[in-house]
Amino acid sequence: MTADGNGSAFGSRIRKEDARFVRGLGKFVDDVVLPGMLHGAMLRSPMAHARIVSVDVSAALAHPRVKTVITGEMLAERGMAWMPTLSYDQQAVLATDKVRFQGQEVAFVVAEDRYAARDALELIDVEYEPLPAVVDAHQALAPDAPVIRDDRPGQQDNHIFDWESGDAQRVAEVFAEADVVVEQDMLYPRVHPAPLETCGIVADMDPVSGRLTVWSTAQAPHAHRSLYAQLTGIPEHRIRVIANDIGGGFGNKVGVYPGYVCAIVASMITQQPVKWIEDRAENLMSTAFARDYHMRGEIAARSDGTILGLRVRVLADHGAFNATAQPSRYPAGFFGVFTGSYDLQAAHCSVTGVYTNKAPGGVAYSCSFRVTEAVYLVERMVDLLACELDMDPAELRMRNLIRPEQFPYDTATGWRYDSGDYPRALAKLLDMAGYHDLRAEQAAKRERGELMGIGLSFFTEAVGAGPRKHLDMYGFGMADGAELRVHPSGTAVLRVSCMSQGQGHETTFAQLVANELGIGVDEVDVVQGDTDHTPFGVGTYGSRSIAVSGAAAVTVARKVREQARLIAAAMLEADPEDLEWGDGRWYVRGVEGAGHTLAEIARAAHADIDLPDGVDGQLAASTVYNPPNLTFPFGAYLCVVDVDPDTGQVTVRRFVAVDDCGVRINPMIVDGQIHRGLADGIGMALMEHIAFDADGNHLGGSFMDYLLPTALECPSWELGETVTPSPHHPVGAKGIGEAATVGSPAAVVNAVMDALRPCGVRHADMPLTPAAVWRAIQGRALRSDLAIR
Amino acid sequence: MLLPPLRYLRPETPEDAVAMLSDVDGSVVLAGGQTLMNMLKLDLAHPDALVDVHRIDALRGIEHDADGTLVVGAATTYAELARSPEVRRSHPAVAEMAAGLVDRQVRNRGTIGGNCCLNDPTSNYPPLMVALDARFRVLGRDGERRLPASEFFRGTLATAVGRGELLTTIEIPPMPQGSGVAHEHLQVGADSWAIARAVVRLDVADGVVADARAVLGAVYGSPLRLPEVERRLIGQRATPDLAEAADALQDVDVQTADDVHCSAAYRREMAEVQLRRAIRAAVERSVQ
Ligand SMILES: Cc1cc2nc3c(=O)[nH]c(=O)nc-3n(C[C@H](O)[C@H](O)[C@H](O)COP(=O)(O)OP(=O)(O)OC[C@H]3O[C@@H](n4cnc5c(N)ncnc54)[C@H](O)[C@@H]3O)c2cc1C
Repeated sequence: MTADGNGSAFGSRIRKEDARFVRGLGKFVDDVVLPGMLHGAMLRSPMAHARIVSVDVSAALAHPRVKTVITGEMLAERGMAWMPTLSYDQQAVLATDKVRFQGQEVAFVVAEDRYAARDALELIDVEYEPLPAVVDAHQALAPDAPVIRDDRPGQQDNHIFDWESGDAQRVAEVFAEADVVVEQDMLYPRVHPAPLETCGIVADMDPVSGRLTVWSTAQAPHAHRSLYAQLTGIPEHRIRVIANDIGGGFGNKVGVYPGYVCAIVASMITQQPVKWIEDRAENLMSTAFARDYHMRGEIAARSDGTILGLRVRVLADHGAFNATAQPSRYPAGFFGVFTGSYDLQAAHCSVTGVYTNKAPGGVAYSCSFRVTEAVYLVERMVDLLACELDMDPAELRMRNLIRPEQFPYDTATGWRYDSGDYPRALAKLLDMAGYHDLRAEQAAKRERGELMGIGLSFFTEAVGAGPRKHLDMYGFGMADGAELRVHPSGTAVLRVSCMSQGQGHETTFAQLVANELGIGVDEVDVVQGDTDHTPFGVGTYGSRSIAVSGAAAVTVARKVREQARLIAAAMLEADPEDLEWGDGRWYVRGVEGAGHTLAEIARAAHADIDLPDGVDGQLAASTVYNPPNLTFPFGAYLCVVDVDPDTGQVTVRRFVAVDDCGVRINPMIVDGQIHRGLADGIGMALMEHIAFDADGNHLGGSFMDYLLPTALECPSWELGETVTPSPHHPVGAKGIGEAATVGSPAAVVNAVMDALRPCGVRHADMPLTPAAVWRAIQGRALRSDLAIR
Repeated sequence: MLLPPLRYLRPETPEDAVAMLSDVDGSVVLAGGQTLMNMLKLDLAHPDALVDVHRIDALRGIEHDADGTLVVGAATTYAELARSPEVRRSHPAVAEMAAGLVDRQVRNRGTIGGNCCLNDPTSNYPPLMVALDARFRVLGRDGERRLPASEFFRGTLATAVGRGELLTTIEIPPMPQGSGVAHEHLQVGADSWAIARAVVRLDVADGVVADARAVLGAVYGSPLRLPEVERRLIGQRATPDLAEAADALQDVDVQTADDVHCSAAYRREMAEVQLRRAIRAAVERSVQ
């Protein structure tokens, strides 16, 4: 399964980086301290929508420890008041004309210390003329809705885009033939990735060399460099972006934020390094949120449970600027995989994006470019259909899952799933969970009036973006580079373009190389996150690291191994074609045990043997890996909940997860990723929610209001696996970073809805807080994005 | 989210602390800091000086008087209360509440005195202190005052502790033979703030409720004692049916707030659910 590597480096449950993390010795951006470093603080809009009448910074400038105050007007003089977004919109760096969401950036104070910078914020006098705010996405396109983006030439309304996928005509036909059609409105509410480390930067413009060095929380350092070059006019080769350790990203740290740009400009102006670290409220209020998809699903089936078609209408709330971070040609991300894991005849979705007076974002929080929303939609619809047909939801799924022999499978909306054995995963799940016993227990409890629920979800992920031909981020094809150098002693350094935010790349990528070269995992170091020392690539998000950068690492290691073959042949005075690789050596076919290890070959490469044609005096190579397709991890989840009928409180009693992410390189890291994603699912399903009041005031600016799950809400996870290698990935891996986040919310919600079935509840939106569930039990479910319930 | 400039003072004795609190303008007591430090960072409190009392020995410690009264220093932490075998034996409700508070970090620093002096509607201890007839010893320049719980809690975020004063000790009378105390509460997440809370104490003798306390937390103002509920409990046989006494809540004006987690109406409904459950649990815990 490990192709022609010897496999020894896979499977071990280690993490190289933990030694420094558990001792508190990680180096995060806030740990960067430079001589003469200044500190920035951001003044933010207190209103959701208002015209700026005047900005008076004179009192702030008079503060003895303030160096400068940057305003939108100053930026406008440099042509930098606006910056491009990854969705080809523009976003205000500092507001000049209007503020368009509460928390928007208005002015940037630079002072000798962070206390003075903060104090000076209060000395800035901004006069606002309040405007009516568009808070409800459903009102955004109303004819009398205030136009938020009057900065855009020709923009007359709050419409951003219409996008569709699938065959509407075919769908109409299969719906006409169907015995049953089930329809449901549902909201995937606005949530926030809330990484424990907030965003930040240290910008150091060296006036002598003309070089800009930036330390920042960047999931995509190379893309940031290119954007800074475009924005500042500093040539790209004089910009170095360094991401050291990152304390969680989840898509929150893909894009460039106004604070980064302001810190860079501040360093250019003051000719001193400038640090800016946002606080928790700033992170929750202004940086990339996730979801906010208002969906209407319709599913059509025969009365025997054969699903025929699926139709979806989405209203997507993108906030005040269209800054979603997804491949350019996919304004709704990969929502097009909403047909999920089922073999159906026709499907169609149409998505309309709108501006509202809320923070920009939408693609984040481990969503695999909106596969989260897609999976939630289809898995809720399948459960609703099961209810309608009075069929067991496990049986209904089993009946409609794509069959193993259908792979590679072309979906009704044009995706080619690479590999899978779905029925096996579902069968394993039901077996591990003791499904039939659970149903029996539930039946007994229902007799006694107790509310127990069993929820299923079967998901197919679409990750590892992606083929350059179809997929680019802001014009950069989504291929990834890798460079590998083996030192004379046989130890190796791998340089990759992706960037860990805690996922353990230093270990996993070392294992990939060690596996190919027959050396120890400790003998491979991984360099990432420094644009001067790594090859170009578009970064880590969308579960693409193993699928793309990992494949690049394997490919480059195999290139080096081939070089080693040539050198070994020279050492052994044999024909390279007669050599075989095994047990960490190149040896002449038939004389196993003889031959040379990589260390011996590396030494020889640098010594005085006559080098054959095609090799230089070193073992080193580089590559760019352009994936032929996405990879499609999948999984089957089951959640058991108990609902307190008097309070609506949900307790997650069990969660069983069978994941298939292809070949597992480091099972411990895979488990860790799954644990995190399952906790995300419980959080989103039961408590996380960025709410606003009618004036657009943000109601979730602290962890007292924006609730995150803890170990106390999580059961002891029960994990299982199947392994279906990806046919096109060099070691058969598919990626696991987001699978559990994508798959788990639907399982939790389905479980709660299953529990509430005796109360006649069909659907209620996340988050299913005690109050929301209680209201549903009372027959008064409310839209959850309206703050007060 | 940064601390404002402040003076930090660390007295050695309660008397020193009181002197500082009276002499230094804008000074406030710092105990475990689990609320006060957050309020400072969020710009919700603006003192000029902090008088840190958490290391004053005389304010820490757990003792029992000859009559069995539990005497707790105000700066005693939740962790100390939770692991004290004596408290677990004499006043299990006090220890259990401490053991269940938030998380280990907060338990290791937060103090029972701080919890009571804050008197936040969501705080755990105030309703329990009312239910257990606790007395509060408050030290000032002119000596010590001793107040019953009913006079100590004076409304949302307000207590009888005045400027220049310090809560030194909380005294909790011995639990009568056969009494059962129960605390029930509801929150969204395990470490989020309470939506509803009820504490019930039933002193049961010969199977009959001789005395009762029914108190709601998570309401505006101070812990809300419910005389009508208590009246319906006293003199009744201690059976689970007693939970019906919670019906009396229908006629009580329970003041709560809307927020992002739920509506005031839901809080009121839940107060009744918690009260019912607390009565039932207190019956179970009473020794009959
Ligand atoms: C994440 C988190 C969750 C929490 N959840 C809960 C919860 O669910 N329930 C709950 O009850 N609490 C909760 N708390 C609050 C916690 O219990 C606090 O410890 C407590 O409310 C205050 O105690 P303290 O010792 O930390 O006091 P401090 O924060 O130091 O002080 C609080 C107030 O009391 C005053 N004060 C303190 N001691 C005295 C004294 N001896 N005399 C006079 N005045 C004094 C201070 O001046 C200040 O005004 C939570 C805290 C955190 C951080």
